[in-house]
Amino acid sequence: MLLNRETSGKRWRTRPDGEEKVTGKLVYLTDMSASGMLFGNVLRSAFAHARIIKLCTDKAMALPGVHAVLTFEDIPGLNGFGIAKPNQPVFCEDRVRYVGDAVAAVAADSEELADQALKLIEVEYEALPVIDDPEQALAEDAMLLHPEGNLLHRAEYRRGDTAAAFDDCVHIVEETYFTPRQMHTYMETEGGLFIPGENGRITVYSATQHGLMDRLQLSRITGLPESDIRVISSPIGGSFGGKDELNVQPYGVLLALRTGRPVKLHNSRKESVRAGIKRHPMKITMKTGVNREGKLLAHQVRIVADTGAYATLGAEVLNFALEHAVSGYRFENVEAQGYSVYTNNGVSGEFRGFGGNQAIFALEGQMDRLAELLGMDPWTFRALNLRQIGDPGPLGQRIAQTDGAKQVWEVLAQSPLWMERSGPSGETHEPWIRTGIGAALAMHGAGLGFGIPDPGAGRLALAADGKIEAIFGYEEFGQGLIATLEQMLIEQFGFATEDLRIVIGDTDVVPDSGSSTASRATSMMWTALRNMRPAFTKLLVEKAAALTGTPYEQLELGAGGIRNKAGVLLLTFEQLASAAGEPLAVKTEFHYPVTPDKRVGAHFLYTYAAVAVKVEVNTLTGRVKVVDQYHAVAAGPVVNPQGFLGQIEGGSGMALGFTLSEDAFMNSGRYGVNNLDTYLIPTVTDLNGSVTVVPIETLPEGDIYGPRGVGEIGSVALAPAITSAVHHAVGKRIAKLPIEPHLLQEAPFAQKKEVSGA
Amino acid sequence: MMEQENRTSFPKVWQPADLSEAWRLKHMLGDAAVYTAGTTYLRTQWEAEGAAPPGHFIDLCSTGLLAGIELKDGELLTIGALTTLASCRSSALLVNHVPVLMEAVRAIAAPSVRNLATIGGNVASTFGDALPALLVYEAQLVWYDGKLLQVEPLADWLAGLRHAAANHAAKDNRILKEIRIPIASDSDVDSGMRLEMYKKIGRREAFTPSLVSVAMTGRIHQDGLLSGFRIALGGGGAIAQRLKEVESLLQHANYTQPLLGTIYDMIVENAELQGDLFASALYKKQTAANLILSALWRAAGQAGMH
Repeated sequence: MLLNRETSGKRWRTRPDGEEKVTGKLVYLTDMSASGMLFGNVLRSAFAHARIIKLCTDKAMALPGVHAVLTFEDIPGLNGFGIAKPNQPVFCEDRVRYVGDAVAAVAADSEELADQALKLIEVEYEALPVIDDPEQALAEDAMLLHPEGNLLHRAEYRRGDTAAAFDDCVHIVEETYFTPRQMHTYMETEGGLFIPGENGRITVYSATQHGLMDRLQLSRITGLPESDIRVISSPIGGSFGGKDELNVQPYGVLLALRTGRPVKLHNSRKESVRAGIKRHPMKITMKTGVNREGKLLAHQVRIVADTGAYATLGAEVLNFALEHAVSGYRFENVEAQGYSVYTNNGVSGEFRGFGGNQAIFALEGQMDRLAELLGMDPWTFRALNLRQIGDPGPLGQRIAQTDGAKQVWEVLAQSPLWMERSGPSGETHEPWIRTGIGAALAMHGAGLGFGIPDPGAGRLALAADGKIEAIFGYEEFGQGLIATLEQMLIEQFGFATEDLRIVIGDTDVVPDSGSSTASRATSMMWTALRNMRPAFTKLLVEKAAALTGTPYEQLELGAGGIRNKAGVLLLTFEQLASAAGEPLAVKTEFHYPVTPDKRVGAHFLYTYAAVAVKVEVNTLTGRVKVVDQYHAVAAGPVVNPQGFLGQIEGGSGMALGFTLSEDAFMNSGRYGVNNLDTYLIPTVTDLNGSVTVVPIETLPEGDIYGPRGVGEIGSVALAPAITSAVHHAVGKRIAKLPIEPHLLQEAPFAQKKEVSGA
Repeated sequence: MMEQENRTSFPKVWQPADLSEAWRLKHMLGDAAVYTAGTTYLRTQWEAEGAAPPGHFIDLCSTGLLAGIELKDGELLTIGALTTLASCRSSALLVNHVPVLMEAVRAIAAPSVRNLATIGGNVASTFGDALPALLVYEAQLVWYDGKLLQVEPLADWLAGLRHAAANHAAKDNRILKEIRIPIASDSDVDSGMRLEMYKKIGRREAFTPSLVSVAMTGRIHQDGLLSGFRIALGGGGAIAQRLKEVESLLQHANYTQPLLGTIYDMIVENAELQGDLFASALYKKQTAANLILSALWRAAGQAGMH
């Protein structure tokens, strides 16, 4: 059923954090200040690749109003960070590898003094050759960017005999696809406030998607025990994967510890572009063959990902891309190889979709091209080869089975938008505006995958003031986590909104719930509440039974307190809390469900999406406008209708930018765009076409995993649907994103054309 | 006290009481000062790589003289240089008399920027997207040179810029006071169908820097006769330009398909549009030609020509 405000009825709830956000009243962490606060700033490399010959901070330190100037010599612990592999220096010692590399940091009385101090730091560089292309980095004679070489990670997967299978193919499509260096473009740039406390403790007010991971990394850098570091991380003005890795935190913490005063850092947009991570640009070559009937026989994949100067999650993103490059369909013979390669470009890392966006763009491009060679309808061709319930996962691993692929395929096939494609082609007002309809399909893994710690945990407590506290280690960065958690508590337990207090984003109080990434938080909260509900209910109701003298069996949890079966409120939560005299709490700890098969990174839970779009291609300008979108999403029950719709619409908006306008391109290791006046994300005008979202909520009988997260699935299948629609409109295949308008431009008035036409 | 000290590195903002004082300040401070109004465009320059703001801002808004749109004697539209783009957008005078300019203003920036940005700033930036529209209306610029007001055709000023850019000439200290647009008299209005067009092509649908912008006015008569065409190009960092050769070719020509082909080639050959990081010169020229010719084709269709 269509998902919107009307069809959701009473389940459509106003977001608890909505009003403060849209009115601008909400105080983000970067809006905070403290008395006696200093301003921090970071000196970044003047070169994309260079040796540091000399580094002198004396003049900067001598500037009145400057309280600290730190370099690599001032790091008590590990000079490195990175979630998976901490090989990014906090401060570079003898070599810089990209323009965002930090060389020094200062704390001063004002932002202006801090800027001025940076200018007084003397750094002598010796420029080194810039490796700005991964293929160049892989060349045998390439200069090594890291002791272990220029290859961060190689991923591989094979089954069957691909070479032999290609011999049996009647049609083979070979194409190389290119995807852009997309920027997360959160509204709130990286920053925070860092306050040293008593007994050597420090409190970090700075955004992240995993507070406990930040605490661990900061502990390694500072040498402080983790218990001395408190990370407060919500609310967050957007992240999309971009704030999962550390950014300003090491500098804020080191400066605050050195000066003993609160320090604030807040990146300008330019600094954010320069230092922040981006989506991996990938070059994906695929060779795929079918037999005469259209059955997929062989699929060969080579992925080259530009991971930039340091590791962060580059290896994991490549694993994900490789897994999804061979997903969704029944390939008999597969040979896939992937390379995540160091360069002197900006660091690439985690970004909504996590490599799936790039892989699905290529994979679905192959499906369309093969269907064309076969003379088949592209959607029918997909059905011939689509994975079926019971099939193993993309890497041959056992997975939680659903019929999602077929479900989304069927719903899309019957959608009005897809039916319109086979109808008479719509007339446009002008001959140079051509419309086309295209579609694509994706499966998308959730959770971190096999072999990676992926904990889940939560606590429920009746606090002393009578509030029901739900305590989780997740973060609210705009995705609607608070709203979703609240809705689950209300619908599953019968609580009222005002009974609740959501506690997140504070490492001193939250359990180790794992990260708010990988479309995992909703699933994990759902599972945690399901685990805790019997015990928490029992705890409260037993206490209430003892206090009221009403038999346990006649009581239940409800809005405002404990009620009898007739719904009469017998004891408010406040009364219960004060009578209890101690907090009544339960907790749960578990692990994200994983496949039993030992393939690192392989997923167990998957969601599915099929997307159809209608585009208008203006051949005068070559510009593409998406005028209609239809999304079928199979991700289990919808927990929060507004949140679900928001995630699919928001994800698709980002994917539209990925397809049509966004690319933080680099030349010789320097960004070609430094700000939002040239890096163009879609505006409301670009997104004014209609978007229809149809969730498929059914799960196989006995499924114990409940609702799957939808944070990423809305962003993965739109690009290939758009390029498919472009082909339908003008007959041209696109293999590089964002789409370059000149490729679609025509010259209907050119004289030459008139001549040849005559 | 600390605050005072810390702000020394901010530019000093001068608020002159009148144009004469503003000019004197600029004359005195030279390159260390910049005239400012909305500061929306200048700011993007200072945020770009390497460019620091100058030490002194001379805030023209404090002169209090320069905003507003008027129609004088039914034949001269005057737009004060400090009129914001938002005010232009809601002006009935612009809609009625210079719809091409209105369309241009509608396509510039976004609401929050248009509330600050001024039409004078758009002109003075030397490549604002209003310039092609102003060119087809043969607008004149009224400058204050420290002593007197001078009236200069926009086309001459742009030609001077092109020459100055080629010769690295000294910068102009004059202050743009007003834009004047002569309004066609009623006698011209009867014959034929009026064609007025403005298009800006950027890299997204709104709030985008232009790659190319195109403005055109002209008339198409029942028998296919074309007259009074003025066509201008700009955008994407190019200095706005009239396409005089194309205009001459169209003058008193009859609308035919081959004519469109000739014009297409002429535009692609002659337009002075440069490639940049985001689009090639060829793309911009072809886009300009396509937009101009499709507008002509559309108008011819409305006039029953095909």
